[in-house]
Amino acid sequence: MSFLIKLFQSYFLDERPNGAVIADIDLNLNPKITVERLKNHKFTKYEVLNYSTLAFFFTISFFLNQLNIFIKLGIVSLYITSLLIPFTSQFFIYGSPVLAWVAFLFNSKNLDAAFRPPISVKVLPAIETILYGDNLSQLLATSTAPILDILAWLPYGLIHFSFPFVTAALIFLWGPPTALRSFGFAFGYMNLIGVVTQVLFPAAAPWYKILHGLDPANYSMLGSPGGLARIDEILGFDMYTTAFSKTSPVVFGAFPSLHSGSASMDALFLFWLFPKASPIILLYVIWLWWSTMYLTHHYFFDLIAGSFLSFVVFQFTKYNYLPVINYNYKNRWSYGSIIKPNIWNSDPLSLSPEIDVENQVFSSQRAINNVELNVIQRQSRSNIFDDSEITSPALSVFENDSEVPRSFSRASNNSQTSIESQFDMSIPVSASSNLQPGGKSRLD
Amino acid sequence: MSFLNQIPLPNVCPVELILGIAILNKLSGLFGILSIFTGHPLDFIQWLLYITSLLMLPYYFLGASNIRNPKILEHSVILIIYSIDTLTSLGFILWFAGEWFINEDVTAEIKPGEDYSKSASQNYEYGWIFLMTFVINLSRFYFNFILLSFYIKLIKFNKIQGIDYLKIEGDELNLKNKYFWQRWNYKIQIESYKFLERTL
Repeated sequence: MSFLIKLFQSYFLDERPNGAVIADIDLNLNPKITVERLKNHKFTKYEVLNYSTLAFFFTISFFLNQLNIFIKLGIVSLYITSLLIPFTSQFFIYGSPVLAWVAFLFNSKNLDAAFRPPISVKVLPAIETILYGDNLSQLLATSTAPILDILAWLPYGLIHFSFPFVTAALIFLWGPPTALRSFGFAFGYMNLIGVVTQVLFPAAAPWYKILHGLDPANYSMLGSPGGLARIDEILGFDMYTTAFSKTSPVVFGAFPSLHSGSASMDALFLFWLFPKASPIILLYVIWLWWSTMYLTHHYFFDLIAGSFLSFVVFQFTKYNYLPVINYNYKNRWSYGSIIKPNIWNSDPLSLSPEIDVENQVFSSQRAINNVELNVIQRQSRSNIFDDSEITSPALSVFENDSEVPRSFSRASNNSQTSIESQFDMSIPVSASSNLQPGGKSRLD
Repeated sequence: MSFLNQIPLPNVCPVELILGIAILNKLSGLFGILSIFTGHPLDFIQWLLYITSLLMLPYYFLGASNIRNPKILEHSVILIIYSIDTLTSLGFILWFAGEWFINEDVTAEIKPGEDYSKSASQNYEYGWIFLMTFVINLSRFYFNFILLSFYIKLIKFNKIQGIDYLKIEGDELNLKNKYFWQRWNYKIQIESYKFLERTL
């Protein structure tokens, strides 16, 4: 264990600026701290919109779910508890869009068919042929072989489910602090929008055309594992056939492809995190696209729609919430402060005087408190004559830019920039608990 | 630049999005050409669509990867290619729509005892097919105008900054020591630029 800690300190903490707390994790377990933060937090209109949307989908999912009411209430209590405990809330608050998507995905099958739109069986193959010259799924699935089946199964059936977790871990360790929140937001909302689209525009996948031609569909029809049935034959047990035939949450949810959407979202964040690895990451997306078509689960048009959705959500997130990455820094602990994105700074055709982005420091009281995912109990004195201690709310991914005063100061990797510069520039300062004697929350 | 004259956006954002969507779409050529291995028959028009899609890809990739430092010569080719693509796509769409409606589309038999209450009607299916095709094409034309607008702004920006991009890029390239495809690429860029200079 001590070897691991030494390894962690020698690799991850060796560039850490003195006194920097922004990359730390909140290890506090006291729910009162969260309640205090909540009392002092001023919700922006974007936060209200975000939390209302999530509450809407959680509520629908709650009523659609057919479990015993006490079990459902137990799950809700667990979720609320996870939001109240600072240690868990730092993950669950920003992971809520993902949870809302998963909840709605698995409960949407209980929507009464009477309220559902009619199922299309022709639109996707027709659009595919009109825009891309042929049914590309049919083109790729014309000839099959066991080796191709395995090659298709790897990204579709295995890597797809683990890759978002790997991406999240990479963002957490090597991205700037708070970047993981943006991933949770983008990944969750992209999938949520995707499932809503699937429910509002139910459409049959390529396997349907193979099994039923262009015959009309209805909601009592069973799903199909498509090409994954061959994987069950190869492996010798029922891994997919029953799951896709009888328990599939969205049988007619071909459009858009959330396999493609998820892979694209992972890829876009990894392009941003490791630009030099972009060709390999792009190859993974192309590999997954091929596998979904080869296994007759999606048309190419579905894949494009999924990737397009991811691209739009990612661009929105990148220009509004994703902190600016510094490629000279080694990992998240190298950051002494974070810089919020500014869409207008990205314009290469801007004729306005250049802003020194490198030295644009995120240095307000709230920003200093903005340790990853609500971190540390932050005790600050807003006034030197005021003895009362207050707990500052954390900066949210939905925080309005205008609420965050910015300053320009020297931001050096090895200086105590974000803290010390406040003294230099006479800006009200907050000192986090781990800078004071007796601070307990530091990871190291 | 603004989205539908309502939401102000920096010049680069919509262009980044347009090139990204173009790359996604043109990757279809890769999968089409895989029919060589699968044995799925393709006709001449399909081959033409897939090969031209692949040929456009490098330019879109180049434009997207240099979007923070856009170069006039690169964007002159991109604008011309995208415009040609927009116009020819109309022809391809008409051709393949004919293929679908004549050869692929069938009217399903109504079987007694089956529940068709939640099956899409023919009108519903055709309505969505026409709507989607129309909206996608309309978007393409809109995107084309955005690229044109971006190109004009790029020219103005370079003039204001006093950048002689033809000279700089020519010197940087030092064409004699480059591969033939790089020389050809430069020639195509210069010709595209001259064509746009005459036309716009």
